Amino acid sequence: MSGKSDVWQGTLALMVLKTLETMGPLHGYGIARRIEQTSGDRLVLNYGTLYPALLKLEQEGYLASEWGVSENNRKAKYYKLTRAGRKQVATETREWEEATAILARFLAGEKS
Amino acid sequence: MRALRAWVVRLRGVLTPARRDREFDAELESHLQLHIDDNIQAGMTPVEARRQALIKLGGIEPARQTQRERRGIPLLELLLQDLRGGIRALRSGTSWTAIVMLALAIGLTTAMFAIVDALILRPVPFRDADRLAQIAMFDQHGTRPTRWPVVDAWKRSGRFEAVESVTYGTALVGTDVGPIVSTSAFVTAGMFDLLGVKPVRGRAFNPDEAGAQGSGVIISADLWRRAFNGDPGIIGRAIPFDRGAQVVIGVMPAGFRFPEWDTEVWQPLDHEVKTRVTWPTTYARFSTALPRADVLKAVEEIAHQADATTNGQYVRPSVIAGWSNSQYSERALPLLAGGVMLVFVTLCANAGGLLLARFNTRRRQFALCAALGASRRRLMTQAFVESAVLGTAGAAIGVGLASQLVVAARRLLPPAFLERSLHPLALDMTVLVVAAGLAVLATLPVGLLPAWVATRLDVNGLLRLVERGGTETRAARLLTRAFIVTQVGFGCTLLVGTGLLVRSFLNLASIDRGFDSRNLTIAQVSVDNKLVPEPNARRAVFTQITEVLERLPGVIQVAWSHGAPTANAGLQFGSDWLPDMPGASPIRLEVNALYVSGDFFRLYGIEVLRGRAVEHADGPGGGVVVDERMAAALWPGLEAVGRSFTWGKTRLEVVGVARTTRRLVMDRDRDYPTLYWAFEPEDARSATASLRCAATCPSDGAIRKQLLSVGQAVRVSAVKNIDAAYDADLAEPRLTASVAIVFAVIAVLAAAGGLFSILSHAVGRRRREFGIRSALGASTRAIGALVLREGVAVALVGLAIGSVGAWFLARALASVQYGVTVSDPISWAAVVGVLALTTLVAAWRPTRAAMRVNPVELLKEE
Repeated sequence: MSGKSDVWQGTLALMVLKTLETMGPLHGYGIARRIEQTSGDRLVLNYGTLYPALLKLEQEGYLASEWGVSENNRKAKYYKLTRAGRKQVATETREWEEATAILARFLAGEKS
Repeated sequence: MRALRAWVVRLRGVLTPARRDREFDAELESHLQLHIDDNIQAGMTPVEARRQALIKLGGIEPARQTQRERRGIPLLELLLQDLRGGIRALRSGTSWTAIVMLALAIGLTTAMFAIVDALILRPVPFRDADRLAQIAMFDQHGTRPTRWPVVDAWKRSGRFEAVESVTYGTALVGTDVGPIVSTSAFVTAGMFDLLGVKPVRGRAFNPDEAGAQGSGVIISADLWRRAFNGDPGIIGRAIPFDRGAQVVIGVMPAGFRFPEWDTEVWQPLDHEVKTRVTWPTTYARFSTALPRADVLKAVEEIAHQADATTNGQYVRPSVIAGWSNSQYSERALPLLAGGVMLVFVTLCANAGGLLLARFNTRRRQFALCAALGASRRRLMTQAFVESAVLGTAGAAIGVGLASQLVVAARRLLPPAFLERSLHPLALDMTVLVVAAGLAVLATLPVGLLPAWVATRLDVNGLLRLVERGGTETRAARLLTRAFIVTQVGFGCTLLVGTGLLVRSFLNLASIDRGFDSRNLTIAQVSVDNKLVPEPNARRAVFTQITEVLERLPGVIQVAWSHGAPTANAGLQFGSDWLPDMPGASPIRLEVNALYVSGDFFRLYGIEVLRGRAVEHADGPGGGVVVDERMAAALWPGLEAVGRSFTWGKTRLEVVGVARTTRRLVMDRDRDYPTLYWAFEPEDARSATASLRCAATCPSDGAIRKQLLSVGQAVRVSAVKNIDAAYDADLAEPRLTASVAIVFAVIAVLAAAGGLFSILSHAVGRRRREFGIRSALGASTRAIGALVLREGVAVALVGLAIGSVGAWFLARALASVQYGVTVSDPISWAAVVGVLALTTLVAAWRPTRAAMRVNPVELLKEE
């Protein structure tokens, strides 16, 4: 395995939600870049796959979008968390932590 | 919840695809610009910056595609797209022809189903109909008398939940619209309870009502509305009846038909009726507690004890038929229902052929789609959805057509055919479900087969195909042929059936009845024997009736009889007759017995060939006249006049032999020989007056009026013109033949259309070939023969297969045939002729088109 890894199935949504929670409203490109930066450029994101994920979250009512203007004066579509989105970040974060904790304990047990 | 919300949003996405496409393109563009800006800042050249941004995005088109898939519901979108395609395809003429075919198929079949359903399939409309039965004693010869002692014993035994009886009659009812003759029934008190039907107004009979004279009557809702104008005070009203005034105590619900389809009046089966009619029709309701076999065994023993004459006989329950109709209809209807199925298949095959031809011409389009990556399944779905659109349109129009047909049937056919069910005829839910089922049945093969065949594209042939502008695969050719052979074959089958039915009808219509039926009217007359009991007084009344009838303008002669030489008049019975020859054994013979006055033979023009006509002096026990057939049966080859025979204990002398008369009955062997007995009207309860007129007979109404003018004691139950009655008897065979003609015409036209369309397509496809042939020196005649040969070959195969079908059909038709054999040569010749003509007509235009292919023009086109 090289130093860079693909985004795991199902984690992209949480990453998007968490990014928007931290950063506030952001356009698609910004979200993608932010995720890569946060991972310390260890995640490779196919930007094309980001948009269906955003669409899905919007359809589920976790995100809202509107057109705005970027810092370098380009028109862009901005996504922001809805109230349901915020709750979802909390829920999914907890679930994820629980899952990793279980897995971590399992792996630790295997070693000893 | 969230998932549901997402689906709703996606469903909206399906509906506004264009706007959403534009918005996403804008978002992608902005994404690229932002990325390019970043890349340029990072030091790339603009070209490189764009290239890198695109690579990172994974291409614009894939991004669009994944977005689209998530945005809407891909399957639904494809379906919508196909539907739009299907609806667009409706613009073509072929589609409409196919729709018309499907609509005709579904409409005809649905209407026929509605009729069969009302007449045959549906259980009788009474409570727990499966526990109801008509019960009677039987032996190997059929029904035997089940007399009151037996019925009463059954009732007392408690083996059945209920036992009730009916006898039939007609009643003369004085109504607000004048006196009318109604079909009536005398029923025991619990009859309506047994059926589980209650009067909508008033009440049913009480058990103590039976036996009291002048007790109440119950009338049908129809009679109440029609003849009493829906009088709200009908209950308690006294109405004049032939048995004296009766009080209406109840009105039955609309649509209640029992025991016959046209029963309008119910009277209590009282003591008087019980003494008069010794053999009632009896109905029973089985109880759920006792096993039926045990019950039947027990009641059989009870019957044997109650009436010694039933020894050796057994009890048989028969289902109450939903249909009290003539034997003819009972036989003809299933055959017509079968015929409509043939028409259905023929029309479906026609529609299938049309669709296949259409898909075939579009193989180029299918091939292109396949080359661009469409899967076969996708193409088939597309083609099938298109067919389904046609099927749906066909079903919708078909149901409309069926409802019109049913309305027409109700208006046109009643007395002969349809109304005689215990059910009214209507298009109801069941019928609509059947229509939907038929639509599916039609669309599946008609849509799927062509779709399957037309999308069978082999990759190697693909390019060639596109280049050459379409050719036919082997499978397509086979299927086309199968469709056309089906049409020609079934058309041929229907034609033969129709030929037989039409010939039977013509035979029936032109039957030599053996008497002169023109200008002849009969009237059913009775003189109340309570008002005029004394024989001499009765004779005086009948003489007076004869005189007033003879005074009517145009009437030449009047004669009296009991029964007349028409289809259902006369007393038919089987008996043992012992001729007067030494050592002769009794001869079992069914006869039609007519009781006639002396001038009867002259009036009807029935020739007395030898001997003389019967006279009053012959009396009921003395001289009789037999017809030729009876004479031949009793004394084969010998002179019958002067001989005698014994019937039971009575010795009868033959005074004359009359010419054979024929009655209109479908089974020739049920047209029995006739035996004429001497008769004078005053001896009988009722009699038939026959009126011979010079030109046209007076109207039925005028005759009735003249009869009633004689006095209060005279009752008239029916007046009918013999030719009109004969015509009515012919109505059913005529109707059956007409329906069969309609079926056959539809099938033959469909076959001709189908043949025409495949030949036209074939010629269109082979133009190149014909051009080359003609350039190489083939004569136009040779090319024409080529096309013609194809048509004739298909027609011949159809004819061969159809003949086999026709042979079976003809055998099934045997019961409604009259004077034609299964292999009636004229019918067969007609079929071959019609089909040959059809083939030629259908092949004419395509053949000419092929002969006119001009090689020079063809080259120019290419």
